Amino acid sequence: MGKIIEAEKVGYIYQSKYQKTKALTEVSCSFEQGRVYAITGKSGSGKSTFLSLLAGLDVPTEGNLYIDGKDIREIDRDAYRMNRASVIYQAFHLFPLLTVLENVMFPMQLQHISQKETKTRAQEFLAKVGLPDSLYGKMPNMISGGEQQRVAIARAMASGGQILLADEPTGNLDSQNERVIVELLCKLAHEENYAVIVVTHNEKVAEAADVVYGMLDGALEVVRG
Amino acid sequence: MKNSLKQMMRTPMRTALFLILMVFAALLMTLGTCIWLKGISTMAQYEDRFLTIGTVRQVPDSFEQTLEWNAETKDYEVIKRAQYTSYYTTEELLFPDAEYLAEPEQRAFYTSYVPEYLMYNNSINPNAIAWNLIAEFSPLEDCMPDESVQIKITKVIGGDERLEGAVDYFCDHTNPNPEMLYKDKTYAAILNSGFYIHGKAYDELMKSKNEVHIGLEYIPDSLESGLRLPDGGVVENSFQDGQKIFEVTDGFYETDAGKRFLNLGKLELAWKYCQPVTGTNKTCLLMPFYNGQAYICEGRDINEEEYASGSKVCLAPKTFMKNNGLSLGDSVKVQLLLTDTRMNAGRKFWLDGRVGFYGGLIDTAGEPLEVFETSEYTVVGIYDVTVSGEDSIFDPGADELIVPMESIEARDGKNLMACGPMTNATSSFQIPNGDIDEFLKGWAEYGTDKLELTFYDMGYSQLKAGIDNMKKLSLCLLAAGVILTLLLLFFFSHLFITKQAERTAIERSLGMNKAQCRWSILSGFVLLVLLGGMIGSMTGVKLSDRFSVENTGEIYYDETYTVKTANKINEIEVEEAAATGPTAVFCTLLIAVAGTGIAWSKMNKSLRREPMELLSERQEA
Repeated sequence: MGKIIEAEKVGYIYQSKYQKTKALTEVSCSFEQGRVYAITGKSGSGKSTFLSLLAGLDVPTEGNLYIDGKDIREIDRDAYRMNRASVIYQAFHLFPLLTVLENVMFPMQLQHISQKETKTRAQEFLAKVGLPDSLYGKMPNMISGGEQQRVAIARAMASGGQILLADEPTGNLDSQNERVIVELLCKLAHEENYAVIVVTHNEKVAEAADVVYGMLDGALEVVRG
Repeated sequence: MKNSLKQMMRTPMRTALFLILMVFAALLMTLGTCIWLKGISTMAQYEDRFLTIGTVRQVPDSFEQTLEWNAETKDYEVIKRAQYTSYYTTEELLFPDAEYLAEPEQRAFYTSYVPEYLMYNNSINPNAIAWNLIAEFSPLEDCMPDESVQIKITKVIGGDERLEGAVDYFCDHTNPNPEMLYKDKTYAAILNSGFYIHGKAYDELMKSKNEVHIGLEYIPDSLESGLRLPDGGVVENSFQDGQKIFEVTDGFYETDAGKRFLNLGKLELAWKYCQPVTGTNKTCLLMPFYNGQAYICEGRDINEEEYASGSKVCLAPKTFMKNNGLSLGDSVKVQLLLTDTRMNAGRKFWLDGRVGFYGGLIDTAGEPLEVFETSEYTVVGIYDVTVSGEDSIFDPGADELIVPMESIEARDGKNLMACGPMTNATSSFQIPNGDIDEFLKGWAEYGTDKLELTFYDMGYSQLKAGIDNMKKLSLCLLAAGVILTLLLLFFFSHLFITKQAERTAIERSLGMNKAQCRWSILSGFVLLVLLGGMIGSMTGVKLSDRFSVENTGEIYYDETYTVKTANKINEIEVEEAAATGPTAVFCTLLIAVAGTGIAWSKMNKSLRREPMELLSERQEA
């Protein structure tokens, strides 16, 4: 299976008005479709910064990051996020004023897919993540955390990309919901051929991953895989 | 945009509150702007129609008392006459900082003697007897003329010849020591209608005829020249010791007195063929035109250029034009015979047809006065006069021609028959509207208390005060509107944009670029601002109609003399709020631009933060 993302001595420096902070140092790794990757580490170790780079929200200040073999600096990163990579957050970050269904429809609307098809596909994605259709018309704050995270995963899938980036996806969930979400992410990788990259400090999540990277003070090392 | 609106509609209270408050703020802003503009526009329109003029009157330095014999009461009467050390000129009013639209002028009026014209007094009663005359007469009995005595007019030297042979009454009324008159002698005198018949003649008339209306007696007048010096003095103090009654003997008309009688006789009926001509520098300075008594009913006013260059153009009265078969554009012959700087034409040529003419139309050599200037004036405007029935010192003269002052070459006053100080009817100036207080401040510093100023502004000051109040109110509304708009925009942009930073971050992470995010958030907000602005502005415009000058409870009239119709003062039609439509659009756009600007800056702030950072921050929280 080919490498979908490849990091080559990636470094990142936060530059504020008064100081420079090195968040990542010579991070080199690669990610393939059909596998679940876990990146573990303490808070402030650089996990989220790395995820931000993988999501194309920023570019490395040092080294290179390749997406499908192309330097991330040279691709349309907005299009990349719209079509290839999606991010799932710990706090779900659904649109609070859109219904569950509308939240899932949103990425497809950006791609100018017809309203009818958008709706049908959104319902399919919601079914895939196991959300009962009685919840489709509800507002995010009316459903549980686990359900919200499933909606977030369905929305990520709706963008059509095969790269799923998750930032502490189970951080706000109880153990039962945590298990459901982890199983769902693994299923997406193994059955739907997604490349799932999870930033977590949850050991159970890391255990379920195919590859585990550890991050310490901005440096990445393979823990298992 | 659809999602943006959808999300806004799902916070209906907040959205509705924002919309309502925006409507209110826009309403205040537009209302304030409309009223402000209306105030300015109304004032500008009134500005053209209102005129502020001042009149000048020189206050007498003292009053001289002279005694004059009254034959009826057999006693002296005290006659009071105003005394002036000297006459002030209009230059006295040219003090520093005095701003004039028309500089002060003291107008003379001239008497034009043109026998071929039919004058008003002749037209209304062509067969009226001219009672004053220069004649020979004899008393019916030997008598002392210290009371009304009967005389027979034996020969008319100058005047209405129909009176030859008439028997009338005579009295040397103001002479305390009259001389005897003998029935077998003939006398010559200037016979003016004077006082009511008195003495034994009165008693007999009452007894025999039971007369209710007692006529006037003739009194004699002196033979001096009537000419005056510019300082008001006479050119000739007395002629033959002021003798008024002369016995006619052989060769009498070869004597100086006799020649004077003959010469005076030549112009005795001149008044029937005379019309006043007034020179001015601006029509509105003439009070009858200013106060609307006189108005141009055909043609136009004399323009500034014509006034300045002294063009031979004139405004002529409708009756004069009609009586002489003249029409607009025709020429009027002007032959100036006399000059009067003491009063206005209306005090000599009365609107009811009476003429209070001058006596002594001879020079010091006893020769009759001659026309000193002849011109042809083109009639550019015909004016009519409303006769109020009240005797006003400002009344225009019958048949009065109005001409540019500069068009009269001998305007320094030839054949000066009356000379006096500046009066309200002869001296005036124009200042800018609203400048009275400022002018008086300067006058208090530089002026003299010997000149009394009276201002007329047609109620402009009152109107301006009303409009100024309206403008103050509009400024308050405008300021309140602007402040409220800004506060609302800042507050609600905080709610709708700054607090939506998370939404922006999610949209960014879902692949929307910055421009799409901006549009997504701003479109709904700006649409609400625009909608609120539009509704508020339109309502403001509607409401502003309620604030008009007419609604302040005052009625203002157009006093401009050129737009009057006969006997009617037109109410001013002010074009109000001509620009209310553009004002509404302007206010709406201004609010929309401000809203977009504020929202844009807030949005930029949100977009500057990295989505991951923002979303992670929330996560940790």
